[in-house]
Amino acid sequence: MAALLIRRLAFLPVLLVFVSLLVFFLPRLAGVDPTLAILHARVPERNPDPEVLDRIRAELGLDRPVPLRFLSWLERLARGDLGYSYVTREPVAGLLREGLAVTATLVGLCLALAVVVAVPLGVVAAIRPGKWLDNLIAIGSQVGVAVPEYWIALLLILLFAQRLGWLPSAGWRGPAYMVMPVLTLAFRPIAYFAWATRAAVIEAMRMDSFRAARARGLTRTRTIWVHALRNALIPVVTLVALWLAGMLGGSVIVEVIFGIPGIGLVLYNAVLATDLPLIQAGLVFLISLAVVINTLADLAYVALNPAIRLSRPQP
Amino acid sequence: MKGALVLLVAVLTAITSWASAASPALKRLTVAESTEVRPSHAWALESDDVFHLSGTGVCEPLVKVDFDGRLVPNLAQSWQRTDKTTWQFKLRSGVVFQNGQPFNAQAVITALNHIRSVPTLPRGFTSSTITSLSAAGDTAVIIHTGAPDTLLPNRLSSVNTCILAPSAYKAGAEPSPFGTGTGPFILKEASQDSLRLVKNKNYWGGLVNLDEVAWLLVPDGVVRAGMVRTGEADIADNIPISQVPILEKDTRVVVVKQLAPRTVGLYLNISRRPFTDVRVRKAIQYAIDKKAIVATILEGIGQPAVGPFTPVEKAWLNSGLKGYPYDPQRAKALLAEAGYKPGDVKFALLTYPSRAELPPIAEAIQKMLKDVGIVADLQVKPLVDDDALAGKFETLLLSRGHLLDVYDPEGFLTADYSCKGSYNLSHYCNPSVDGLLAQSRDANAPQTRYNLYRQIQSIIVDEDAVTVFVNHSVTLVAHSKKVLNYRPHPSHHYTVTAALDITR
Repeated sequence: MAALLIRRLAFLPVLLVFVSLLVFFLPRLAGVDPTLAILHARVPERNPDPEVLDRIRAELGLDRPVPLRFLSWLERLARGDLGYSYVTREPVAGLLREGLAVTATLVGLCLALAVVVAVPLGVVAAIRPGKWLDNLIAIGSQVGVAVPEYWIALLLILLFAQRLGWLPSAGWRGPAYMVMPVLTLAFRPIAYFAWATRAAVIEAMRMDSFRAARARGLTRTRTIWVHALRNALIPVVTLVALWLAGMLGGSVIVEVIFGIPGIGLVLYNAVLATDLPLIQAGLVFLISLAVVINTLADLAYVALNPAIRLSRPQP
Repeated sequence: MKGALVLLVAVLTAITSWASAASPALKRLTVAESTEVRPSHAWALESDDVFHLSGTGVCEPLVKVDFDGRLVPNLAQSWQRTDKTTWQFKLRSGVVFQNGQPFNAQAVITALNHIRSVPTLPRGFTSSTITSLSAAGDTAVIIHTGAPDTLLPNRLSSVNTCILAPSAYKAGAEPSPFGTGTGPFILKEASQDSLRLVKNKNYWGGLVNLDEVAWLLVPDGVVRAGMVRTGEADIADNIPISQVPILEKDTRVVVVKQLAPRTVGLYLNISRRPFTDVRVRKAIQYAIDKKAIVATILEGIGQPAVGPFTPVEKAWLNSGLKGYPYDPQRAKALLAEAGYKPGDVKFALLTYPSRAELPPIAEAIQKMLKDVGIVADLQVKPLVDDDALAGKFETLLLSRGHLLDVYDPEGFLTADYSCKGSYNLSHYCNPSVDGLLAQSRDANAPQTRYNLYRQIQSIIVDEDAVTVFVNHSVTLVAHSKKVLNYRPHPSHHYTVTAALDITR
């Protein structure tokens, strides 16, 4: 297990350097001039004063050759200095932290809801595979995966905010504001988690330990809910971790529609404003976070799964 | 059982009526604002952030563009140009900052020095726009300009130059607008998605009607529009065209259409044939049915254009322009006169997709040109300013704002229509226009200047037919019928004013 950990963590810096290369050079390859980007981020002046442009370049060291700028950016990143936003001139780290706090709440609630709803659904589907309840859940899962978020979001707003007036349309100012965004985001994970649970439970029902438990006299239902489920939770834990990593950046559509000041909206606005330091640091940060979470998920899977743990040769 | 129920209802009624009687009904108004104009925790006055401060009635500049598009005194009572490069601004008496600090010449100088020292200057300012500031006593400020500048009062009507109390400005940090403005509302709280403001009881401009204002930042236009219908917002700014039919059917909501200083025009590259011939240019003008474009493609939301300026810009609009009413027969006649048979004139019609209305308008134009025998090959791709300026196009359908830098069209006219203009896409050069522009920069009185602009409009539109001005853009605001005294501002400077009110 230690060997796995070391291998995974050794790979991380290599990945990050590669990612930062991509994130740094892509805007420049697309023809974005950082000096104009700074100017346009604050003042959409079509014809900037050349004197102002020169002054900005000199002040921010943008007149140095590109490889030098990349290395100095990388060095500052390694030290934890994520730079200053072109738009607000505030430290990027603070902006990302605040956005992440909001998104983490949103995503956390969403995944909690997904687990609470999907796991029982998956178990119920597994109890009588092929029967009408199972088919219903199957169709529900397909729909949940296929329907676009922006459609669900607007539909929920139309129904609960406009027609019924039960919930507020947009914002993040209390528990009532969280209901619809969390619901919107939860559709897909519920669908996937339910299906994964179902498959895992069916798999567990084939195992010897399952038949042994039945032989001891436990009812089928109780055996499924107590024994099979325990095994089925292992892949679900892994899925939750993977989805967590993906949703931290992937909740942007919901954040824009509901006006939630999470990290998705922060980066969306940054891209619209060509706020390069925020875009670069934000992307590197999100990707690193995703890699770390995935690594932890893998480790958790290994730790929890007795088959892998016990199959390793003992000294 | 029934007795207990009656008692419960009685108790609840008593509690609710006590609760509502205990708090006097506060007049509270909520605005749902779009976040293309992005706010931040740090208030960079030189950026578009400042529209949140001026829009909410916190921060005010020396000179004001009023709701009719005229330049009027604001924190400065009057101003005069004492010599070519010197202006004197007399400050209004009776103004006090919301934190109690005195409003005087020194405070104005501190504020203006801040905006002069930021690394990215606001629109309409270069490092030599203002070279020095000094106080003439407590109530007047002397401003020296780098070059003779008739537009200094217009530049100081830009909300980027609004004045905050001296204690708001700290070295090395962005200014703090909390309780440091002069306007009708005091900023109390700012969160990531909203601002909370309260009435300024000592406002110099008179009684403020509203007690509290909530300024919500909602990125999605459809959601903003919906909030007026649910009652979550009383005013929703910048709503998408698609929402207009829905809102107009709602009897509790009013949709306000405000002409924006932005015009869609077909720019012709005059340096290339056949556009070198004015008859061809005029033929193209006559071939296009602008009324039909506005009625069908824009669903009536917009106004057909004659020249570049809109009817709300009464100060400098030349309302006597003849223009080119839709007349395909005349177009065909002009082409024949110029020696072109149907199908002879062929060119590329370029436009870009980032403004959704442009490609459909271009298609309509293509069809209308075909009807008079002109073949236009439509190309839709992202706009590359540099390519366009280098003349790598034949015709270009462009949406152009003309009051972006300063509240005066001189910047636009110089950039787009003077021989060496920095945005002269048409490659147009008429020495008369350059001469008139030079005169306007020397003119002391605004009226003189505006008359010169009217002459320029006449040349550009009626004589030289340089650009086909198709339609003026419209901004859309929706508000509940409970809102009183709301007027959209021509440059989106002010939304919440002292006069704004709401019925209970």
